[in-house]
Amino acid sequence: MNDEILYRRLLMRDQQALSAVLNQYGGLLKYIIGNTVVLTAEEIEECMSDALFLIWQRIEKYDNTKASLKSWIIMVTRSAAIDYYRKTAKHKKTVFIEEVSSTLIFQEAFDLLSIEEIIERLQMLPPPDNEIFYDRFILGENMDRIADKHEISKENAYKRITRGRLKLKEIFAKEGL
Amino acid sequence: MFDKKYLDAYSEHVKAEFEDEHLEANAQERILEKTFKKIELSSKGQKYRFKGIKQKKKSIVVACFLLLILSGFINATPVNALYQSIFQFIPGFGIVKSEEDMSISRATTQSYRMASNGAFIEIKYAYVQNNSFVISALTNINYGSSMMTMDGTGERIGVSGKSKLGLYLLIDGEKTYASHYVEASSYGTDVKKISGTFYLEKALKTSIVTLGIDDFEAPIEIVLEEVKAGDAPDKLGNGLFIDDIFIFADLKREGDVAILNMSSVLPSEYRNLRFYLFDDEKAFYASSIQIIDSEGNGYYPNEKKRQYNNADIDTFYFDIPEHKTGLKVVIPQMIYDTKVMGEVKVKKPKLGEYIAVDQRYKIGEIELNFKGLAFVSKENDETLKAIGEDALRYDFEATYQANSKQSVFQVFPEIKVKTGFEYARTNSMGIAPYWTSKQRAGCYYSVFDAQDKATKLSIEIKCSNVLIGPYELKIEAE
Repeated sequence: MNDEILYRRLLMRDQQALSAVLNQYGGLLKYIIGNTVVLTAEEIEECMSDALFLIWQRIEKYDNTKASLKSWIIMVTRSAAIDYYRKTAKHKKTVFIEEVSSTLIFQEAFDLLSIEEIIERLQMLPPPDNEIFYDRFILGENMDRIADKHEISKENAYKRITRGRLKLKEIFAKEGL
Repeated sequence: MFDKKYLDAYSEHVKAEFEDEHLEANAQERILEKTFKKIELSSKGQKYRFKGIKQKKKSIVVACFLLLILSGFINATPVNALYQSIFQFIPGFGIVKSEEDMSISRATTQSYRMASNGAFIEIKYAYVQNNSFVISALTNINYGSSMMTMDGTGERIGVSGKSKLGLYLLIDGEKTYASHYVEASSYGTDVKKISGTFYLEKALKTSIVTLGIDDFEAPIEIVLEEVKAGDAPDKLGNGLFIDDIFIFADLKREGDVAILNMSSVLPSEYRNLRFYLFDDEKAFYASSIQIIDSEGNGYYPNEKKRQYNNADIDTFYFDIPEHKTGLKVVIPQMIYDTKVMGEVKVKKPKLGEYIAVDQRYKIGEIELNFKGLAFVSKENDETLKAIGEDALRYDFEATYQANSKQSVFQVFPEIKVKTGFEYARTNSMGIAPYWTSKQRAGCYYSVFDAQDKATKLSIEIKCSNVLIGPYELKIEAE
């Protein structure tokens, strides 16, 4: 089922469209959730269900002129994973060591924005550093994997992520955020 | 602006299927089932109409009582002022200490819910205290996202939109909006907990008040009963003093479900006492609160029921057959926070440098020593390798009085950085490792913006501590 049909069926409140989302993107949802927060198998399923529910609830806010459905689903999943982490982790300044995820490190900058507003900013992040930044920040991949994938050293990967963060900060600064 | 869609270009090439993350058919079915249940719950539009004041036959639902003598649990030190305090019990909220000239005059005796077209508001409790009207509610009403106004070049020139719900009280036909308003989201859904305080210019003359939220078509009427002074509550046995802490258990039974609400009154140096254990804390303490019946059968909380009912962490749901009686609560431990203590100003160490501080704090039966801090490279610390950042590490040691039941659980320095002539908070991330009950030393890590350039820091300390039990409260007669 292509994304346009999927989108229309979700808008028409066809619950079977959620089954199609899971068929097409289930592996990706699980991958993002697994990278964002350490969970048992049962918790992963619960979090995936949260992500699907969020897709269902927010589909009217999706604007196909501003992002592809796949980008939007990825970001909604990321948001659901972060919410799940927050509701299961201790509040305030507590972070359990093994659960610190790259996804969370820069999160505070986005806390004031909706998912769609975050997408708008991320769309503006230009190459060459954006891919590595997206790998780390959105997919939650660890540095070893990123370095292997892009065939660069870890040190180089860290530098490019820092450049990506600075670039995004510039984008935010322009908007007074 | 939207010609450049770098994120879309990236997403297009992200694999939709990851071999290691393949979902079995059974797993897909389970996930969908959970999702459909959530959809069903969110779309239920149940209407509850106020039908008159509910008369509770057995218990005094709002009571004001004076505690003079307790048996069994008073410690051997001289009776302190807390023992002679006046307490009030508000259903849905719990126990509060009534200060002089600050007593609660009216309160709800039940919760109220109004729903319309899938949106709802549920008033958990409300009470009048002097010139303030306080409410706590749950709602899924949204106020919509902010709108950005752009000029012709794509630059942002303004942001507009609502930042909170328009919660109002209708007095003499006029809307009065909450003077103080706090909102918190609940469990990744659209349900929010809202706490509001309204300033009352005049005393409320009526026992029925109307509350509403702007853009929600159905305002809700609630009844505030007068607090009955001087009645001895039949719930007196549900309270327990532990040194300067008073805890209270309120039990409600609905068929085979028992709903336990725990509340507490704390001395001023403590905050946020809880009985609930978050998942990562269960590695250190095996269980949270438990109920035992007269036959010795034990029951643990049903977390899923609590979440589905959007209840706070001080409310526990238990599956206990209706015919089981003689219930008592067993509390293996409680966790509480201390207030912020003792500012220390220190030089920020350079990378690889350690600065000794040796500042001591007295927290109940614990003496905490802030030994010093170091600026640690990520290459030299396993914790920091995981996050890929250099960080400041703060070292602490604790000494406990003999036979003390208190122990440190986590330490949280609050850090301000000197900028010009002042110290100010900055964007930061912290890692606060847990202490086991046998541990006498631990640390905290912080990473903050421009930490390389910072020269001086102001540090205040607060802790999360554990009070080890077990403690028992009898909550139901046999």
